[in-house]
Amino acid sequence: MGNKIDRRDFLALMGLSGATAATLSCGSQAPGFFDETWRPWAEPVEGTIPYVPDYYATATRETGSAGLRISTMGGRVIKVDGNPDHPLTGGTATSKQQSLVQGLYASDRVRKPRDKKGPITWMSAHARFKEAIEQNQGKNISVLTAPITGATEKLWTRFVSEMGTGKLVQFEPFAQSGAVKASETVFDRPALPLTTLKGADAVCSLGAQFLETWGEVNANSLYYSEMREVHDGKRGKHIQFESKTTGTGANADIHHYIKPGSETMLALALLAKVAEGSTKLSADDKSRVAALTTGVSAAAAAGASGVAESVIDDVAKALLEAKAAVALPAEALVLGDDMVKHYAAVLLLNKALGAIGKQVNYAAAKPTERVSSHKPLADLIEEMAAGQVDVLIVKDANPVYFMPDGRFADALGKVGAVIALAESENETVALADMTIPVTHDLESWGEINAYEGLDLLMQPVMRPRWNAEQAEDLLLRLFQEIRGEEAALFRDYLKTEWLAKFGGDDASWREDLKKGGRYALAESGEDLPISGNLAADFFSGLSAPSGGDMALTILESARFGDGALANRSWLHELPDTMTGVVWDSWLEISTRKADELNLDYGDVVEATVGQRSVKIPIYRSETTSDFTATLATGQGRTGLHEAYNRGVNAFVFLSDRLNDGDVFTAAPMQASFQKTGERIRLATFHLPGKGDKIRTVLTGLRPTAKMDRDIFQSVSLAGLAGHGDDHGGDSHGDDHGGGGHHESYDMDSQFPLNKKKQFYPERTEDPVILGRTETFYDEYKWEMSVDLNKCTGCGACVTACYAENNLPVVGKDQVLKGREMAWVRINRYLDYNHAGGSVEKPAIGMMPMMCQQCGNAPCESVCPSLATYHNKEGLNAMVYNRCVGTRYCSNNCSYKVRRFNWYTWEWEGDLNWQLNPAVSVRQKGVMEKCTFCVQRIRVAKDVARDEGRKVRDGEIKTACQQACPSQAIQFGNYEDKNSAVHKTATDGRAYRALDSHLHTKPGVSYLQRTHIQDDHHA
Amino acid sequence: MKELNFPFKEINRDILRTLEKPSLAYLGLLGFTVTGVLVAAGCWLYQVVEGMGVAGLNHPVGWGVYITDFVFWVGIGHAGTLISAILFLFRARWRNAIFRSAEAMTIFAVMTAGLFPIVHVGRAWVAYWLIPYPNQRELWVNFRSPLLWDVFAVGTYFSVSSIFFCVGLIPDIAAVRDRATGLRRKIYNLLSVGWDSSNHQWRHYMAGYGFFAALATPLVLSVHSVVSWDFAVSIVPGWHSTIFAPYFVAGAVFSGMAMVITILIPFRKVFRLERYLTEWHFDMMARLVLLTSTIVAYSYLTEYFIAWYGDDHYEQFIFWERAFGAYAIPFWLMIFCNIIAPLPLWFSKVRRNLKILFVISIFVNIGMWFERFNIIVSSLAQEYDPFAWGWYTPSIIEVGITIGSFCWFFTLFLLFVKFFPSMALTEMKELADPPMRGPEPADKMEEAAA
Repeated sequence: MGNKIDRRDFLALMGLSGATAATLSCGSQAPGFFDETWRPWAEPVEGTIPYVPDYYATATRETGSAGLRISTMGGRVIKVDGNPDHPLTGGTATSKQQSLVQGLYASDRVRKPRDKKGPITWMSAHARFKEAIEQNQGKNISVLTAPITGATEKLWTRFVSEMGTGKLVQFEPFAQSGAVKASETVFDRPALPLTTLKGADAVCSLGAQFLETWGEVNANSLYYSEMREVHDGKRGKHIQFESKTTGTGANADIHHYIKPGSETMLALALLAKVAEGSTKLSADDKSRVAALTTGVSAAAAAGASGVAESVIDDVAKALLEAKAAVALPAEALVLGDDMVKHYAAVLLLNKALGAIGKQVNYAAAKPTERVSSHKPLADLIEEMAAGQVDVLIVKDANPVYFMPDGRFADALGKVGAVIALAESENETVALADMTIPVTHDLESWGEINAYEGLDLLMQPVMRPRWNAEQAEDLLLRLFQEIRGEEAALFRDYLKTEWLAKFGGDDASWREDLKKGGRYALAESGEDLPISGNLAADFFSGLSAPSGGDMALTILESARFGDGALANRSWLHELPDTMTGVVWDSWLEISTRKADELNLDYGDVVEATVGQRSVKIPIYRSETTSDFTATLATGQGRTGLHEAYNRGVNAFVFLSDRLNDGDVFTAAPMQASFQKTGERIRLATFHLPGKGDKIRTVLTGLRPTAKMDRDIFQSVSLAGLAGHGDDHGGDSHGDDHGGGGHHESYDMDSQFPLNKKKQFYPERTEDPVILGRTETFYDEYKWEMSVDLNKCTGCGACVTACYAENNLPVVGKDQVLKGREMAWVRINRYLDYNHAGGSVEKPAIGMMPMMCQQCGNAPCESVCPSLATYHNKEGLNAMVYNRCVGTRYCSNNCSYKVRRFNWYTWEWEGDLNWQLNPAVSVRQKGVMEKCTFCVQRIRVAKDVARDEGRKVRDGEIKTACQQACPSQAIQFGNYEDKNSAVHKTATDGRAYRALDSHLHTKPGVSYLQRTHIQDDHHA
Repeated sequence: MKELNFPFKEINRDILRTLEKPSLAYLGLLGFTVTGVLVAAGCWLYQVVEGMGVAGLNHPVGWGVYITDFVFWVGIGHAGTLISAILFLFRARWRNAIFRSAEAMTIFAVMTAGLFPIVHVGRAWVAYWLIPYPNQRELWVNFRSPLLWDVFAVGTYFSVSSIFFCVGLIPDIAAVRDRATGLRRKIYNLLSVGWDSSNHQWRHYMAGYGFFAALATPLVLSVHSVVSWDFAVSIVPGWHSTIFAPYFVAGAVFSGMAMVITILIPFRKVFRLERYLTEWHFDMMARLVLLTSTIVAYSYLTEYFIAWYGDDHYEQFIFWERAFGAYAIPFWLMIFCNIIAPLPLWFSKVRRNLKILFVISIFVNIGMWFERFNIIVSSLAQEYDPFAWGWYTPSIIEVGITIGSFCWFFTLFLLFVKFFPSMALTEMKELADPPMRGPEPADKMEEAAA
């Protein structure tokens, strides 16, 4: 044939013509405006390879001081991880941080400009915005925004000061001005020091949920896990005082329930004891502290808090014995009018412990101007109510939700014009006269100055999802139009400011963008002297706990924070660490109190304090004290997509006046609880009150009934060191039989009557499993290890798995039916007669449970269609397309980690934009499960093959491992004797869940949790 | 044996009367069952379109009512072949009157059971992947999976039972043919494959029938043993048990015989066949029910004994919870229906009182359904990891399909009754005196009974 064209030429021509067509069709777009519909990447961006992710380092105001690494593929954000270069975040990411991408794709994003009547055009929005500012020039044009820093703050300040007489009000619900005031009082340093657990071997928290919400959670978790590492039979201690067991308190070694509101008295009592024995205080300081604490008695503190006096002595002793102890304050929300005193007491305590300058680092502090207070907001409301504000620009802040009593909303009605520059819908935006969409932080430029020496750059990582501009660009345009200034983009403004501040050139700017900012965080600072201005009677006149018998306590939600994150389906379906509840709000009360009040799970009560009340279902908890009924913040939103307007708003109970730290808080209050007769079924992943008991409770028998389940194991430090015989008690079925990898089973405990006889063949000579011996595997056998001693149960791994593996969120109704799709879940167990637990106060164990990739998998042999099989790398592979859906594999899985697609799940709104193209989305009728992120293994193996080498240890990180803030998870090649996973798997604490009983030969080894209590009393 | 007294020449007339023009009641009943089948088909279609989520199944209880139904119907399918094959080999003459309907019941029960794996799987449209045949997809099946053994066991059982059934029908179809006219005659002519009742044919027929009986006999034991291995070879506590095969076979015979009784009592009444289906027949069947009831009761006790003696905490827990936990009601229902309710059968008066016998047989059917429900659901609900426990309640869709399966079964049975002789004419004739031998059949019957 004459017109021969070979395949390569054909493809080249096709590509060329396609690219030309795409170029022509896209060329007419106005700059700054984007087509809403998605098109294939017909015109590839130079230097990018399709389906190979691009990574961007950035930061957002939502995630604050955390550094992020965003993965994008095909121009879409698909995953949020920690920025490995960032000194505090490292490569880890909490669930909240990871959910950022769902905020980007939320259905609540504002898509078009609008006024009260309806949508308006962009042109008219610009014109009216300009008109509003132009006409009110010189009058009160105020701006209400979430905290902003650096160039962003500078621009807004300039706008406010040049355009009128208004103010720039920065507002966030959890303001920290109280701590700054305390610092000023105690050390004459009005700053918020960076407080971490770095190098600490004892931490005493008076309620701070430092592994969930308080401070730098990523850094806290990492240092916490370092603290818990066992060296020579010793490890650091965690002491927690709180009124209910939080996810943080669940990890404590010494845990005491206290009456809410008694934290300050307790802190002072501890301070008095510690200062007395402290070697870190000078004699002068000692007498100062003694003078400050003259009125303090341990007996009174014990009486107020409900702990024994000896507890205070013991804790003080433990803190003094520690080499590097640090004390953490109570949660800000529970502190009433003694907020500054509380923080001051804790600062002094840290001073006495020698933590100032080390764990409490003033060299890396947040200066007072970057710490927000509620006073400006209170002042603004007054001005607004007086009709003094002509124009109010609201950006990001949502005070209408924060003040459900309507104080802000009412005052808003008296403002001349309310303009919302909104990225998402919320309760405040809904009241604005005009709303202009602005870009999400992932689509914007900006700067975040977190601490001294920690300055982060925010850069757009994808084109704006909706037709929107950055708010700062709108401002610059106003300057151009009203003031006749030169046209400018905020990007250039930011760059100029950044380079002016830090020096450097284009190259360093690019380097900063690449790294995510400038990291010059001081490792440690100097010890500060106690201020001479600290009055000796500073601590007098403490208010007594006001909550009565069972106080209503408001705590910051570990999932939703201040409510800004309530539109994230991942967080809604992430079980609360302690109760396991998803999708709803609940009031957590102890089972004893619930019995007294005759309340069952889900009984709706009306909790009333004065005029304010909420209706809320009860959660009967065995991990809370009788002193408190606890409600978490962050739910009860009304301005969101209907699926997420759930639960009740705990801010209802917020005090309506500022406390001494200039903050609105909710000190524990006396409430009445009235049963309404309604019942709401609370959805959990487990059977509350039943499925979380590790020592099985038989129906009708006491919870201490001895029925071992060796799936979760812990060991006392004494037992670990070999001092005590921890074996043979009622604790461990198996701390030795790890998957046949060990030299031999411990015959004594397994076959006490016949020590010679080996029931199971060794793995190396096991002929049963189709020749699946050690030599069955190729050069790789992928294994994972989880250190239960480090796992804090935070759930970051769960969210990471949702993000990486395209797990659908199923909603409350389906969770109620037991159809959640989590490939990894956190098993939270209660232990009543071991590890220091008792019937009154069970010990708590957290255990991430994912597919164990069994070497002798029960699921594989029963699959009739060979859809699941064992591959040559030790993975229990799953071929979705081959699955017929008999569900036998799931029945036969002893770990219950397989998930069935009961429906073809759908992603709400744009959330499917987040889907990872490397992982197929499953259809109804198909079984699915964890395969150790096999897609990541494939990529790493491809790279290794191209470079002609083997995959290096640590080169592959599974999504859960990558996210884990306490780095409890190891993954790698077991065949490599030097790999991290091999080392952990052969550790003395390593065991493989249920293996001694079932001989499933799991590919996941768990390292026993350690506890400091001796077990012999049990 | 005085009641078993029917003259030879009336046999054809009496039995073939069932094939006459249907009554209004019959048509009404048929209409009811067909409606039930259609409703169930609608339920299933809904399930296929929406996904398995419309059933009450969940994580961890991946099997529920559908598999219960499957095992139940396979169990029902046991009585027929037992009666026709094993009792034939043992020359138990009381089988002659009931074996045809029992066999038909078997075939229909297996046909019903066969629907459930398809109803049950998540992707019914690819259920044929479970059949091993060379195909362009290059997919093969996993012969280690008990579910595949099921495919073979049930498939073999169904094919052998159907052939056995069809072969047994040939002489009777010929008898129907001889009385039929028109199109019916042509169809029956075809189905009777040229049967002319010659001595030559009878000789081969009887030999062949004996072989089939011998072939079918092991299947009676094998099929439910294999079905029981669906559970026994797993490592689910409460399933993993070596007693399951005999336990399931006994249970299957138990429920199968009860179902035969349940069906034959109204059948006998409606078609006025009291002369042919006597209390003596029911007495014999009730004895078998009683025997298997004691075996089943013994199995229950053994399970508990082994759970206690084996000192496996997980298993002990399951068995404790089965009796006292969330699923206690089905458990005690099972105990009552399968152990307590059949106890009156020790008395011969009860065995011959068809009203009481009917009630007891219904109880046994209910009890055996719940036995399977107990084994499947209560074991899955509370396995090794307490954090993964969960409860299962059937959904309306599952209930609809279950009721529909009964309707489907009875539809087939009703049609069978109208188109084929539901008692074996030839074998009944063996019981009666030959035409020229005087009117005293009682001696012969007593002889047979002995």
